[in-house]
Amino acid sequence: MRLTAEQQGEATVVSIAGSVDALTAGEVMSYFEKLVSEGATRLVADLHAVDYVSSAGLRSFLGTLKAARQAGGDLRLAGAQENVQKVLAMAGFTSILKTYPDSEAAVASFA
Amino acid sequence: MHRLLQQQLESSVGSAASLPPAWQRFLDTVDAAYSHADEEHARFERELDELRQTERMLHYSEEKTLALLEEIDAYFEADLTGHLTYVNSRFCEAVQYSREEVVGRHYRHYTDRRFIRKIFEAFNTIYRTGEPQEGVIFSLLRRNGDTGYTEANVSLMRDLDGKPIGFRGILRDVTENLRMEAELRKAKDAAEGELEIGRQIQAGFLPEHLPQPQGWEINGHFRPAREVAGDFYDAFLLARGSMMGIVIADVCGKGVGAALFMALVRSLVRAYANHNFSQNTIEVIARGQARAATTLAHRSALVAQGVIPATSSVLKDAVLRTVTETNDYIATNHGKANMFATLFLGVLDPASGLLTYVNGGHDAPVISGGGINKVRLDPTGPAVGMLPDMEFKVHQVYLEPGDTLVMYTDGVVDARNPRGGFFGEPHLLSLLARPTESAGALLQAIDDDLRAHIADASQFDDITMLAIRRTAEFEWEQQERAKDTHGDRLKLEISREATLENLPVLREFVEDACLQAGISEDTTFAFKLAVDEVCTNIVTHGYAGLTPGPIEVTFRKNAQHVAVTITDRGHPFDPDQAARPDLEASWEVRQIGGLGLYFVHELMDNVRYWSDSARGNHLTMIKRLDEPGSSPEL
Repeated sequence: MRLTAEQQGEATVVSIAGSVDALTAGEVMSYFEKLVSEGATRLVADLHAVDYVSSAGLRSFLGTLKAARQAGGDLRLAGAQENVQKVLAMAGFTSILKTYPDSEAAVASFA
Repeated sequence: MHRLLQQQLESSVGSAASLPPAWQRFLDTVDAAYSHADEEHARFERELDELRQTERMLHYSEEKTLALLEEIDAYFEADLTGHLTYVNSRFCEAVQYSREEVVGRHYRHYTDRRFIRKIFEAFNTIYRTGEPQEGVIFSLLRRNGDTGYTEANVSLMRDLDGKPIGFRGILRDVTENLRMEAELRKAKDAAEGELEIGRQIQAGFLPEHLPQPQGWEINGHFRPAREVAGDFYDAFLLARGSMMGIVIADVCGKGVGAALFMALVRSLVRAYANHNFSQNTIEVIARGQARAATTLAHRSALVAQGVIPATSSVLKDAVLRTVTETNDYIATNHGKANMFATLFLGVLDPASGLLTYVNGGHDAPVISGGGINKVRLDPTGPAVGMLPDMEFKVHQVYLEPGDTLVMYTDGVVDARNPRGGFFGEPHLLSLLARPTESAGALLQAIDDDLRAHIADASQFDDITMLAIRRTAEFEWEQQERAKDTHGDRLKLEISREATLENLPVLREFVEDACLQAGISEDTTFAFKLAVDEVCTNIVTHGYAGLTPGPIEVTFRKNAQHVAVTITDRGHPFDPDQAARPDLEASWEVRQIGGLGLYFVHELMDNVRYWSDSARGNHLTMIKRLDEPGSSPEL
């Protein structure tokens, strides 16, 4: 699993590649926490290179979402593959956070 | 006497002082001798006295003993061969022979054939062990031909060296006691006779054979109370064998009356059920079953959403009418008897597992499966037969593969141990929650527990149970374990240390196995995620505080199913007990816990967990392959 962050307009886009599972969720969570603490609260998680997310992965998204919103920002998801989208839907996450087909659309939503 | 001699000597020879010294010495010697003889004599006299005294005492003692022997109950002494050597007068009175006639004869002349052997054996035991025998009962034959009964305490007689020389016995007449006991027994037998009639009526109305539709197991268990209590269970086919009626009931009252009323209720239910599931109903059901077969997997969801398939209204109506008609018949035609019954009637569609039921005030049956008690079928109306026009409601529930429905009467939970403690509903529920191999094994396990609980206490109420089990897809999985991989069956295994680093390895194993088995992408993804979630829990919770042990994943496939079993040796944990996440909660309050297991249940058609200390924790999940509709919408 790899993480890279890039400022795009109003938002900080974090590209995640690989699996977000119990093994890597902690790393994802602390990566986002660090960004929020540095003032980057408008966050886009670009998931197009994520091939797998388990409930542990969702935990890190929920934690980030709470931290960002409490700081006045938000976490928005972009480009989730079909399987990842299924997991988000099954957990009811699609009703509590916004998802976009790609990171451009997600970034634009912050404008 | 020597003093007399001295006096004579003195008178003839003068004063003693004038005697010559030789005489004086002689007299002294004589004197000493006499003095010694006196002492001897005194001692002899004393000893003689003592002897006389002893003799008197002995004589007195013997008289006293003999007197005692005459005063107590009949008494005998016999030699080692059984010939009587002494009998007291009471004995003589008892047998109506004189002492002279009795002494020297063998005991067998005074008892009848049945007891000769018994007495011989008693003597033999006493001789062998040296221990007395108490309460030896035998007959005493009298001269006039009458027979009396006596109870004897017999012991061994020994001589001074301790050598056995014979037997002595004290007899107590028990003729009257035995006669009274016999009369009591006769009276009791008469009462038992009535109970026995009631019991036979009751037993006669329990089904000899229970129908066993394919894919279902049915077992009944009935243990009557000493006093007939009127419980019954019943299972019968309806609508040309396409449906099965199941009944458990507890009729009020006890004895023959309760048994007859039970027979009435049982016949009414059967008759009304047959009528209500008549030709017309059959056709509607048959159409519904044909339609339902294609949408089987959606049924639970439809019922849960309150969208009931069309056939179920026909079923509901037929079941409801059966109960109301039975209620009205009893209340109207037998109202004066004030009889009623708690009664559960269910009609099962074996094809789909749909159970349509009315519970008339009966202990709520339990549906258990996957190691938990899933649901209780609470009363939907009052007990049957109290008043006409009572309102009953009809409910429906699905029995899933592996589910067991257990119906029971209050005799189970109210069974008391010798200290008065109830068996209790919580204990019963804990037994029902255990995973079981079969309906019969489950009832047997409960009955074993009941027997141990009741022990030697009285069983006051009938103990009645009926269990219906939808045989599980797990059975296939269990059978597969014993077999090798061949034909259309496939078995693959992996074992890894329970660490987060191994989670991707285990996921890949499942993915590869699915690929090898030619399983669809959706199902593959479902297994990959479910296995990952279970293994994550094992790593983070199962082995929490322990050195990580193994996680074993076994993948099995046949033509219809895929089953994956995950085994670990961490802390036992039941995924069924985990709280369901609130998927509707807003982001502020949304908790993440339990989500993984929620996924597992969502993704799989059936999940079962069991645990034992010897073989570890096992979780088996199954997905059906042959029903496209069975995959949950993702």
